[in-house]
Amino acid sequence: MKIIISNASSDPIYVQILNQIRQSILSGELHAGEILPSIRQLSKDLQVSVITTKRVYEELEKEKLIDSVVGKGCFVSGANKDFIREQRMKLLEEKMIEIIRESKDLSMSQQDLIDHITLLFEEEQTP
Amino acid sequence: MNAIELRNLTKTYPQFTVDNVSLDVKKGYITGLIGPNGVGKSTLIKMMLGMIRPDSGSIKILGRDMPKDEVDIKQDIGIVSDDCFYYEHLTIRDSKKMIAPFYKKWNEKKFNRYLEQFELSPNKKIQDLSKGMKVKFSLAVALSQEAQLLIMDEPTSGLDPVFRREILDLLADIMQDESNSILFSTHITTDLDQIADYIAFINRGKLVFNEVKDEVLERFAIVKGDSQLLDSDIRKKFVGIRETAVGFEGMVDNRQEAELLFGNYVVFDKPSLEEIMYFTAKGGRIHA
Amino acid sequence: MLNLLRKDFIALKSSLWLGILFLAVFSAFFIPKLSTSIHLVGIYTAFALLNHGTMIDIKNNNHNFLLTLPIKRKHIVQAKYITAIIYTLFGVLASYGIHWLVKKLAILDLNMPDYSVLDILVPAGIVLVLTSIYLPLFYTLSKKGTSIINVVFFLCLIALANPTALFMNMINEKGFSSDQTLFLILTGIILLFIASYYLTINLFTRKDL
Repeated sequence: MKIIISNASSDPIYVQILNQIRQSILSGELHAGEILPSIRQLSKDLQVSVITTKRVYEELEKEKLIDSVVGKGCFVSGANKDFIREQRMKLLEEKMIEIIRESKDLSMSQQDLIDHITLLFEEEQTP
Repeated sequence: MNAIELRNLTKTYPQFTVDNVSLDVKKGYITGLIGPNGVGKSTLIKMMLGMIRPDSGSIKILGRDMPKDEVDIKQDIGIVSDDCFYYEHLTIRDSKKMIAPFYKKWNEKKFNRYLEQFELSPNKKIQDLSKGMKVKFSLAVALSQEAQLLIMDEPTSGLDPVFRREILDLLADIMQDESNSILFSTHITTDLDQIADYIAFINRGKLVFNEVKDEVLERFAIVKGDSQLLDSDIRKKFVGIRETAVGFEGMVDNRQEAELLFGNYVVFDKPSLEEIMYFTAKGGRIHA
Repeated sequence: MLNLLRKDFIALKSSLWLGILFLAVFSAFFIPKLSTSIHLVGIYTAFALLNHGTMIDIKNNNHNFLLTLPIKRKHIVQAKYITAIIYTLFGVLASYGIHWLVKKLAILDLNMPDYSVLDILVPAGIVLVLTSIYLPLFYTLSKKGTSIINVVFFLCLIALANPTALFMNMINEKGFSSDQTLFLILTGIILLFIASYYLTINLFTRKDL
């Protein structure tokens, strides 16, 4: 897991951390059941307040992305696969929309885009 | 759970008064005690340590009463100060010999490890240590007595930035154990911008606020804009304001309200603790 | 308590030779000149040691340091009174020892009288009286005040050297009228010392540092 905090960003620090951990979970970089660093360890590594990291974990728990087990720590939630899939689909859709807009700028037709994607899809599948 | 509980502490001096201060330092967190020099931070700390007797009010530390349980309390608190009170003519080794027997939980191994980590030679005399080394030594002592509460009085003033960073890392290490607490008094707020969990702001002998640092930084905002936007009613919304020929820069303590009021006519900035201290301490209008 | 005494000992470790130096200087100065040198050497050595110890404390803001340690203010004062007694014993006994030696070896052809228990008790009593006045001041006054008091006490001691010697001679010649008087005076001194101790505790526990 990689987290980068920028002082230049207008987002509060806790939002920056939250977004990046959420991203790591939704992208599948962090797998279900994987343990997250403890609140205090993370706060030390990022040199931020313990309360900041605590707030991030509480928020992630509310979003059902992580489970906290008293005395053991926080784990990436596995129970809610559908939810995660849904979230990831949303992210994918955002990217698709971006691609569609980009292709329009390049004056590609819908069919052109589909053909192109099919081609790339096949290339990806052949090892 | 509170590591320190001050209730209605008052101490009157001819020129200045600590006025009815009630303050909680939460257990398991780092509380930054900020405020300009000479507003009562040191007096408060000295009262906590029993060096100064308050005129009225009560002090509870780690659940015990001060000064009744002074000896027990001091077994569990480590004090790091920029004033070094050790005997100047003694070596580090002799100073340790003097101090260690007073503490029941003294950890010799830890002490030697910190000396090594801080690159302090046991044969060096206290008077030959630089200011930074003195702080390192007193930190090594405080950490070796296995204190649950660290009280740090201006520990980083006069230290180079490299070592200040090191100290912040050390403090984070200590805070891995959630039964530990730190009270960190300073006027150099950049140290606290990062690691503090709570900020207690003292000004002119009074407690201005004691809140979660993140909330403080979100609640306050720096507003910059054209002076023509200001009238006497609007000026009152500012905690402090600085007006110049090229515009104004002020601080509000309710960002949301100010955003509704000014909309897109001004620029909003996140304040630093230093700015919060500056505008609050100056108060009213500041003429540049 | 032991820790506090050890603290004073460690602090003075590097300057313990001063005790010997005091002893030597005062001996060299008084023995050839005064027949009551046994008293003066003891008093001066003991008090100079006490003074030296408190000066080191003052120079290093020692009270502030002590108050960060897990001890009661009462014990800080207690330890200082005990060290004062130790200095007194050292000064007086060492002085007695030196005089005994000088006499025995007859290094100097001095007309030295025989010394009695009284010659130990009298200087010890005088040091305790001085200490009883000195320590409350030391614990009440500020850093600057104590430095001044130290100088004042020392000047007094020097100025009083001759009158004290005369007084002492007088006592020696007359002898104490009875054992009872001696007993009363000694009890008085001990009471004064104890009263001074409680006064100091009272003053020091209320002091802001």
